[in-house]
Amino acid sequence: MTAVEYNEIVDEMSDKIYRYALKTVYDADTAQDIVQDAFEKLWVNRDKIPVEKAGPFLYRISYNYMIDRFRKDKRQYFTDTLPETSHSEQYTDLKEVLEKALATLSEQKRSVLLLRDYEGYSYKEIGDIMEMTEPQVKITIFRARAAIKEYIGTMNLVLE
Amino acid sequence: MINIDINNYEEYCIDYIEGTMNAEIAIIFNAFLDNHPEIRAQLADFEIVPLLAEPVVYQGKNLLKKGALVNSATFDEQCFEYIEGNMTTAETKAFESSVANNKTNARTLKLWKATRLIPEQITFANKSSLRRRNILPQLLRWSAAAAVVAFGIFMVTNNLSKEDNFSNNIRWDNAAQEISDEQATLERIYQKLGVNPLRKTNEPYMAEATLKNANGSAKTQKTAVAAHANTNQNEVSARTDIEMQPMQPKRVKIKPEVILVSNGLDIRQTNKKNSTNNTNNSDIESIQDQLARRYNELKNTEISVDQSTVYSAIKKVSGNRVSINTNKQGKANRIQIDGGIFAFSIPVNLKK
Repeated sequence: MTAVEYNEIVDEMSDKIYRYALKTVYDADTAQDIVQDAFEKLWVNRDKIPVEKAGPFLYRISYNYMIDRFRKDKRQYFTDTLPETSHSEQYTDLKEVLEKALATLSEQKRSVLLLRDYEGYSYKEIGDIMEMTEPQVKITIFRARAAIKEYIGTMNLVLE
Repeated sequence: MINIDINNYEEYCIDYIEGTMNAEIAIIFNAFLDNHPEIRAQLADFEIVPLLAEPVVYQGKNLLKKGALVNSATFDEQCFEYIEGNMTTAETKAFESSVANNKTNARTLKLWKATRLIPEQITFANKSSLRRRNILPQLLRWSAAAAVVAFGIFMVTNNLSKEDNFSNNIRWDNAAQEISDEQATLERIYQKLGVNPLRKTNEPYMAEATLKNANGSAKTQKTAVAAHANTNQNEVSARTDIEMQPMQPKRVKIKPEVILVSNGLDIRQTNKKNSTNNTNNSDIESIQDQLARRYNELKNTEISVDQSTVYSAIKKVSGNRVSINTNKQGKANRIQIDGGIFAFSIPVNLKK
C-alpha cells in the first residue's frame, strides 16, 4: 500500500470509522482516538494489508480498541441497558427512537448492527472483524433487532 | 495400607456419601469415623441435592438451522429472515401473503422493518492529521540513486581506460569483421569509382580520417576504407562527414605479428590467401592491412571523458538534490544527498 493509496483510504474511510466509533462509544474524544489509532495501525501494517482489506482492518482495530477501552473502564460490555418502559409522549420521528433504542444495546450488539446496517457487511465479514462465527453474528443481529423492536414497541410510535 | 487421619479424610468424604467407596477403604474410613464421631455427624447432615434443569429457551435457535426456513421458526424469526434478505423468492412471497392477511403480524413486521438503522452522515474533521507522506520510499529512492551515482562515478574515474580499451576492441573488431564481410561489395565500389583496391603503397593515394572520438570509430573505419577512393573525391565526400587529411605515402610491409583476429577473421590468413593471387604481395597494403594497422594505432587510444558532463546529468535527473563533492585533485570523494527533510552523504572510494 503506497502513501497515495493510504491517503485515499483516509478520505474514503475516516468518516465511516469515526461514525462507527461515535455510535458505539457515544464519546467524540474517544471516537477520535479510535480513528487515530486505527489509521496509525493501518499505516504501520500497510505492507501487509491489501488495499481492498483496509476497511475491515480499520473496523477490526476500532472494535478491539473499544473492547479494551470498555474493559479498562470496567463497563458491562455484554449487558444491555434496560429500556424505560413508560412513555407518555408519542413519537413520530423513527430516527430519534432508533437512536435511543440503539443506545440501550450492549456495545457488541450495537457494533454488529452498525456494521450490518451502515456498512452493509455480510455475516462473514462482520465475523472476521469481530472475531465471531457467522451463526454468532446472525444471532447477535437477531437479538439486537429484537431488542430494538421491543423498545420501539413500548413507544407510542406512529409507524407508516 | 491406606492411612486415613484428620489431615486427609476429606478426600474420601464424597465417595463415602455417594456410596462409591470400595469395601477395603470403607472399612478403614468407618474405623476413622468411629474415632471421630463429630465428623460422622457432619457427614450425616450431607444431603445430595440434585440440580434441577430449568427450562431455558434459546432465542433464535431456528436461525442456526441450515437450508430452507423451517416451519418451526417463530414469526419473529421469519420477520428477521425477511428483513435480512435471507429468504428465497418463494419463501418471501409466501411470507408476504401470510402477513397481508393478519393485522397483528403486519404490525409486528413493521416493527421489525423499523429496526433497520438509517445511516447518517458524520464527518471526521481531522482527516489531515491522518494523511502521510511516503518518507521511507523517498529515502530508499535517494539511497538507490546515490548508490547508482557512486557506482557511475567509480566506473568513470577508475575504470575509464579499461572500459575504453574494452569497448574500443569490440568496436574495432566489429568494424573489421563488418568490412571484411563486405569486401566483395567494396571492391565493386572501387571498380565503379575507378580505383584499384590493391594499390602499391608507394603511390600517394591514401587518405586517412581523423579520429575525433571513440563514438565515431566504426564510421571512421569505413570512411578510411572509402578514402581509398580519394581519386574521386566528389563521390567519396558524399559518404563522409568528417575531415579528410592526405596521408604521406609510406611503404608498409606485411608483418606476420600484425594479426587481427576477431570473430574468426584472421588478417594473416587473408593475406596468405591474397598472396596466392598476387606475386607482388610485399608491395601492397591491402584494406585489411590498413585496418590492422589502424587497429593497432587506435586500440590503446585514451579517450577523455568530461566528468562535469556526468555530474550535470546526475543533477538534472535528481532535480539538483544530488551533488558531488570533490577533493583538491578535482576527483569525487563524497556524494551529497539532500532529501528536503533529511540530508546525508556517501563516501566514494577511489582507487589510486
